Amino acid sequence: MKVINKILIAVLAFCMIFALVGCVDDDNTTDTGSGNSGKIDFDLVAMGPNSTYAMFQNLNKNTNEYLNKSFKIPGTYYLMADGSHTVFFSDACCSEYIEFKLKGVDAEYPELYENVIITGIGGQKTVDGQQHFYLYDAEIVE
Amino acid sequence: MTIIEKLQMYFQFDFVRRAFVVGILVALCAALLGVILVLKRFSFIGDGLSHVAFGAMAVAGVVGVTNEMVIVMPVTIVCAVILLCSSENSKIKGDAAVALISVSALALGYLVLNVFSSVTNSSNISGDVCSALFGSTSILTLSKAEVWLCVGLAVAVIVMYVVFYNKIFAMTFDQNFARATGTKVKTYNAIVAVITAVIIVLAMNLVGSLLISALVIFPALSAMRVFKSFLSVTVCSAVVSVVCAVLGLLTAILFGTPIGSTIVAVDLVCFGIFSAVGAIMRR
Amino acid sequence: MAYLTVKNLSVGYENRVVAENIDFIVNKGDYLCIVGENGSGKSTLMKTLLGLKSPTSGEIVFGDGLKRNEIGYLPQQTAVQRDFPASVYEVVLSGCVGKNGWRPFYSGADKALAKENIEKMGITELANRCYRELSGGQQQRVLLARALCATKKILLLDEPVAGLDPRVTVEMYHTIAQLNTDGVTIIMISHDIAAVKYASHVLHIGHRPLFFGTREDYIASDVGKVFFKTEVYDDDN
Repeated sequence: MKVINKILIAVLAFCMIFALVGCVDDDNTTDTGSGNSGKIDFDLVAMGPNSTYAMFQNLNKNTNEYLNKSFKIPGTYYLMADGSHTVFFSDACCSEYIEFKLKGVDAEYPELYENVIITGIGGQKTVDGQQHFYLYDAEIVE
Repeated sequence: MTIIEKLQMYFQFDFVRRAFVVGILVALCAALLGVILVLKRFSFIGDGLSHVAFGAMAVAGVVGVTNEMVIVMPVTIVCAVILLCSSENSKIKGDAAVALISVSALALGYLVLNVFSSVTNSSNISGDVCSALFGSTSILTLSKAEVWLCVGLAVAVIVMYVVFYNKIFAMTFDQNFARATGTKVKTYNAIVAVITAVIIVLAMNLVGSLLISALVIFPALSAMRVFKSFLSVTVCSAVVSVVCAVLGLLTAILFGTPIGSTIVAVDLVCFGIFSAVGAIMRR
Repeated sequence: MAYLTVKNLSVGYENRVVAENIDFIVNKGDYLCIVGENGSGKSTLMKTLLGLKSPTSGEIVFGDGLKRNEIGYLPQQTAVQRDFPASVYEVVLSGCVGKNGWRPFYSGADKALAKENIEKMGITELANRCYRELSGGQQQRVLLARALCATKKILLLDEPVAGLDPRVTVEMYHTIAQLNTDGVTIIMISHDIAAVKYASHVLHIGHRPLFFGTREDYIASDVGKVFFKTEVYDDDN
């Protein structure tokens, strides 16, 4: 076989191994200190808009992986019809909503459509037989 | 933060690592297939089948199945077999057949979504359609199960491609000769059709329905500008596709550009580079 | 027992019969030339012999140890192939695919056979060149080498000199005649009357078979005389 083919196949094999290693690595690296106060596991503010929006979707879709982790989330405040407090984040065509519950009783919620950054811990609650993600012990940081 | 620090930050997250794993594997499979499809003059079948998958997804949403793949995969596979296997004797051939099935599926899918919008609980139909067609951020929202499914299918596709490589070459180059000398052409055509359908449905997660053609066509065309043997075209196409997908993903994540379009833009630049190199080499 | 016995064969598409009542025999070592005007059914007949189409009626019998997939085939080239990115070696080697059944990889014997046929066709220096960069005549030689990889017994050639210039045409005929001398049975379709010169037998069809017999008898027959007269190109002159 010609040399160039051998080189290209070697590059390909490297990519495949990289892909599979990345895949297997999953379980080991996600204990980034859950319950470790002061350290945020998922800082969405530091991420670009694609990743932030994707994380909003992940929290609602793959909820199990994000329970009891700490978050710092940017978004726009919105009060839903059923009384739940949410922040939403939009991309070009759609918006995703994350529900949150501020720490303590009688906490002051933001103005409608105010841009905020909140921190909180990931949790799950059951509404009408369906599981929903929400942030509890939340605080408004900005 | 510098770029390196940003990348380190991103790569600690599962969802980013999964995106790259799936991105690499799907790009690889799409490129391998692209070489065959482009040479059989079926370049637009990627687009066509993804529209069929979109239509099937709309129906699946209305019917209310928990896992859409149960409806989408079989429907897409059947259409792929119809399109790729009956090209010689059918009254409607090649590109016309692809166009017929593709446009109908897209239109009917959108119609179904609109008419049955109450059933799907979908408040934002254009949003759903937009993200199905253009992909938005679906590659960054994969669950572990979805990743393993993708890995399994990709490995199966690659193994089958390697095992049947010689037969695939013989059939793509000259189907009549292969049939006359005893190769079971119908069987292998069906295998290629099934593999195509599986990859298209998988790749919709990566770049969305509208841009899947680019993922299938561009790496193959780029490789053909420069390389001269089928083996080197195939391998180069795979490498180009993987590299462009990785670069596109990195750019999109770091700079916030739409993922699908960015990958296609990188593929286009690559095609330009290879064309230039090819033109220089020929002089 | 002859290699190929064709009895009362009718060929065509769907409901349309293109040629009927065809009877002929091909023995080992023969060089049969199938001639006729355009549209007389020559290509359809060839596709039926190869099993690519079913006959409308009649039968084709293989004998003398010849199996159906031991027939080599030189088809007319399509636009796809002329532009195909493959090396000459890859194309020739692909002739061995039919023999391998479900085995995925070529054996050492297959590769040796491909190299041998490349040499036989005189294209050794082209072995690593890209197929699409070759001239028409060179591409035909490559396809001939590929057909030889599929078989040593019998070759079916469909208009092998179509589109080639006169000098290359003559070279191609000489090459094919040499193969016949080496023991390969040849069945060739041509509407070039010069092809008859090299043949041992001629089958002239024109919607029904008009003639089957040896070349000498054909030239002497009424049909042959008419065919020779109406052809502009006659390299005996």
